[in-house]
Amino acid sequence: MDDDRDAAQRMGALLNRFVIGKLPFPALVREMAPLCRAASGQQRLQDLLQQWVDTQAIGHPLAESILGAVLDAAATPPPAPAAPERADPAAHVEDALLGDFVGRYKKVRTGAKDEQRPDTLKASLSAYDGLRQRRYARETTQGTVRAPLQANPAAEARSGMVLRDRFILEDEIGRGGMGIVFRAVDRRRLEAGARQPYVAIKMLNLTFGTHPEALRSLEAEARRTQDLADPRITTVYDFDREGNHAFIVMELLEGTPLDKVLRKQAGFCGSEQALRVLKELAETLAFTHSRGAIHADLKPGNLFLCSDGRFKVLDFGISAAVGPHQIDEAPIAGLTPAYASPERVEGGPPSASDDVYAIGCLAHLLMTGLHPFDRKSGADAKAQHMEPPDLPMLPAAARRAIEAALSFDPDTRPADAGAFLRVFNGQDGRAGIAGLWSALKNG
Amino acid sequence: MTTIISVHSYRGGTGKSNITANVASLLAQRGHRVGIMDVDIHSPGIHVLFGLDPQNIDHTLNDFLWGRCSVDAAIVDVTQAALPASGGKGQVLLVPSSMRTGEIARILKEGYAVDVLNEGIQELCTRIDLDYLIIDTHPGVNEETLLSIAISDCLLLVLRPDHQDYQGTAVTLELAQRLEVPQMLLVVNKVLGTIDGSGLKDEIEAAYRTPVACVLPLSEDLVRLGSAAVLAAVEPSSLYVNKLKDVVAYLETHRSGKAG
Repeated sequence: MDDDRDAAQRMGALLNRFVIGKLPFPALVREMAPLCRAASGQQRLQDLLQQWVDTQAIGHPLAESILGAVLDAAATPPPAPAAPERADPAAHVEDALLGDFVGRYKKVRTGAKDEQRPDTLKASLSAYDGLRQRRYARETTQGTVRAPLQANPAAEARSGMVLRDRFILEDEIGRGGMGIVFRAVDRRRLEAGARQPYVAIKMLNLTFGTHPEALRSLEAEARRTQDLADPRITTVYDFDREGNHAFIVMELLEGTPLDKVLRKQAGFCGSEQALRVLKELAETLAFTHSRGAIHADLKPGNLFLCSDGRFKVLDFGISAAVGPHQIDEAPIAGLTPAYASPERVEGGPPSASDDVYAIGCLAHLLMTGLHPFDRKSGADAKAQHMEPPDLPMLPAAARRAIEAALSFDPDTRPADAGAFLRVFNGQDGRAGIAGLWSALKNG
Repeated sequence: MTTIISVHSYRGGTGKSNITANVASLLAQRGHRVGIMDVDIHSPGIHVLFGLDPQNIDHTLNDFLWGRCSVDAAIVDVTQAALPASGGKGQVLLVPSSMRTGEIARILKEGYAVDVLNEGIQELCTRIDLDYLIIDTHPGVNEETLLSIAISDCLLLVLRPDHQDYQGTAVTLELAQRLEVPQMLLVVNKVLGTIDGSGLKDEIEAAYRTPVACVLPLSEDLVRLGSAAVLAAVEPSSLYVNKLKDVVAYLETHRSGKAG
């Protein structure tokens, strides 16, 4: 009896949503059909519709239409997933869209057929699909939760594009060698009522369509790094691809990348905050190196200072995974020459020692705002026998560590960030960075 | 949170602007703060219903679209013209489009960035804390239509008992379904008094499988008024206005559903 009552209530609720315009007819039929598979359910619907007609809540023709469609759907087994057939109204829509967007009535008038019409329609609508979700996401962050809807993918990454029917690209928030980063709405988070419905999506420049093994490798490497679960490493939620475009879903950070801080924030270089960044960078890398994970593309753009004071390393493990595949002819994102060691520039495999070389470069930038080798690659600096300038503001141990990090010879460079950090902190028995911290804090 | 409603029809002359203005008035009479945006940039007209003289409008939606002003600078408070003499607790704010021939010509020639229009709609909702924003659209299928439909919580699709309207309505409904508008309602307008409104409603609902919020008569009151005023303000007890109250009930249902 309870089941009967529940089914009747469910039917009534569905009809109610339909008559106030909040449930389209196809959805009404789809949701009603499972309730009418048995004869009792069909009779229940018939009785209910009769009541609604009697009370003039709906007209008789509409009631018949509903009953007929639901009974048909209930008698039909659920279809296997397949491309939906186009109903007649869709042809009208295509004509109208083509008229306004493409042919300006010319093709409609001549009756010429355009084989691309379905794609044209899809592409035309896709730009609009995400608008409401984007609005709802904005409202959600203002304290109100909304129900999101559906959208479509498109060929090029742009604001409004929807990936995997889930992520709606909103604003471009950065771009680099590896790709373009977008702030994006995550529909699933929105549906779950998450306070932060936004994520960061990095659309990779690489064409993975013909390199599936590269995507797998990239995913595996980054996941391995993520397993390290260090709060200073940006969280990667997922890897996926839409057509030939691979993308990475990451946590959205509020703050400023280090390259921008170095350019715009006067007084940052050589400050206590800069020194803290250097120390956190070395500590993060020491931790990951101890677990066999390397970064392979450390540079100011991959270091991030969050608004709440946290420090984050971006793109961990991604460059290391991409590099060996050398996909396509374009310079691989995993290599930024100014921070790459000589052996890495010359094609050697990424190693922890490369990260140490990059730390040395970054230490100079953080302390003086200048690259130690005038932004030349490790190979060029080596060829020109360049020497890094001294950093007199640092204690002797820290200077020794940074000088060693910038050695062109990997055999004389600290093998990993842990070794670098020990020298840097004076843990080899000589005065190190701890003394400097005290000096800076005491003015 | 603002409920955005698009009032649209596939063809012109269906009475969209009158429905927009009167629904706004009825909502305001019930204490709501209502905004109207005239997105019919190519053939604006709703400002006439509120007695606005184009010469006295400092800024319009066009100015915003061309970056000459913020969207709130284009707001005109038309509450006095929208509410009956007995008053009401609500407010009606209009963002008109330009009536200047040169500016309409410029829109036709150069177009405008629809994204900017979207930004304007968003800003309007948040900056002036509207309960409802009603978008009076340009008829047919175009970028403004798609934008309006895509961003709306509710689509009021206006049609007359006319075979051209019937076919065009199918087009717009298909678009709206594809864009998954949360609430879609048909409004049948300009129905002759000799036609059985109830039977027509049943036929249209069965044909489109979409609810008809109300069937509005071909109103002599409106014809007599000739767009010189908002009927709900000057003749609040007219049949047309009373029928339109059904639409307001649907809209308030939607809003209470959202709040819950």
